[in-house]
Amino acid sequence: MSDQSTPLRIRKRRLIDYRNRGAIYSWLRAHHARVKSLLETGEATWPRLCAEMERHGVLDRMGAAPTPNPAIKVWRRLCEEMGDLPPVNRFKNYPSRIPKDWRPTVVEPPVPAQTTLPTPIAPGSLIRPPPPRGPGMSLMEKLTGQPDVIRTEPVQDGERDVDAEIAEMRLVMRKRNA
Amino acid sequence: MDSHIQMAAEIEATADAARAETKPCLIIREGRGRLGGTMFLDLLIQRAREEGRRVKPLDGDLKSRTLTAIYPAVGIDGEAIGDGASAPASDDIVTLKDWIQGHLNDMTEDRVSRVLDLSGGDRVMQELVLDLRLRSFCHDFGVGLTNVVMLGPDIEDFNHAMDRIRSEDSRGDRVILVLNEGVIRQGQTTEGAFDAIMGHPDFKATLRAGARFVLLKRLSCMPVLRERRISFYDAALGRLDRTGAKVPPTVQHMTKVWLASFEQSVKPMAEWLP
Repeated sequence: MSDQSTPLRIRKRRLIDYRNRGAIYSWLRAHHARVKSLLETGEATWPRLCAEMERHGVLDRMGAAPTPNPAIKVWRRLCEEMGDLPPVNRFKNYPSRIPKDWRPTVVEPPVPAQTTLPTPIAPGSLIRPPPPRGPGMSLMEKLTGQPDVIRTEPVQDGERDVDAEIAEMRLVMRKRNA
Repeated sequence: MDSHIQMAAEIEATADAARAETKPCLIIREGRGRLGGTMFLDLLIQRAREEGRRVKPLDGDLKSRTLTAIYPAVGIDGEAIGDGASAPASDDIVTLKDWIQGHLNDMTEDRVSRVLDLSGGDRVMQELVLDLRLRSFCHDFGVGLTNVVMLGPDIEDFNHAMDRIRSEDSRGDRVILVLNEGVIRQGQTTEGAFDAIMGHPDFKATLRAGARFVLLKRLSCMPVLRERRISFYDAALGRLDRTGAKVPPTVQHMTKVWLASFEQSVKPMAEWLP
């Protein structure tokens, strides 16, 4: 695998001006075969291709340097028009491919000195859940960026109230379509 | 007689030792096909791995081989990939049973959770249940058996799933009914689509027997994630895909909100999942 920071050094080709199409389209079309082969072999990434376009003096309609997401869209449309399926983006970082012993770098938060005994938790109050079974933050923290809190279940006597659970779900569903 | 008692005590001691270690989960998907079951299993696998827990996908759906495609056991260079999907050599019942039994045996040793995707595998499970008494096997060897029942709005699918659930020995103590919003027709409201099911006496009876239910909301940008072959969590957390690009911010946000909502809804049954 080549160094990701070095330019791709794609040979410049003459660009044809396509009606209603931008310079990115023209460049990708002119270099279609080379780009396709570089993507298939995994040699090129979209940031590198965009850097190469910039090196060739290609700018988007706003006069700015090309960026990956719009370029991918143009590439997909171009491939469709040429009757060519875009190369399959086989995903290398899929969880199954990550080494088993890989762990994210985790910095332990500072622990304040405890001066008093913890107070008993009342039912219905908000508490931090137990730490996740895996390393690092809980999924909820990762996704929301907020400390994960759970509401302690009020003490339940007798049978579970299934009707209330269903009514609550109906309410959630109603809100979805409101 | 004494030898029988001693043998029973030894079996009990082995089972106790197994239980004392981590309790792996065996997730079995129930319900008919085309209800989003494989996608749900994939979500469970990704969720567990995101938290650093091992899960082995068992792909018994030889027609679609979706889990095998997502989690290949061998890379393009021929190198083995850890915890890649396992699939049976053929779909005849004897082979399938042997394959499942082999994995159950391995589970008691390696203590790694498994998710099992069977296409029309009711017959296989019925036979396995008859031969093995799956529920008591899992109990004895400290395996948490969770049945995931996928439900769409079709009441026939629901009745079929209930027939399976009534087969007492096939299911564990942990049943999750998944109401999949992603399979309802355009123009139908979510509540309207699942109204008949949620009002059905069998649905309530299943919940009273200890089952939990969850609404799996629709994720409209799912095709984009599939096309890019990026996992839900990588997309939501702004990681790069194979081409070195992130998903667009709208897709990232939608996926993040969807996952947070899912996480919230599975909190009461988090211990049942791998």
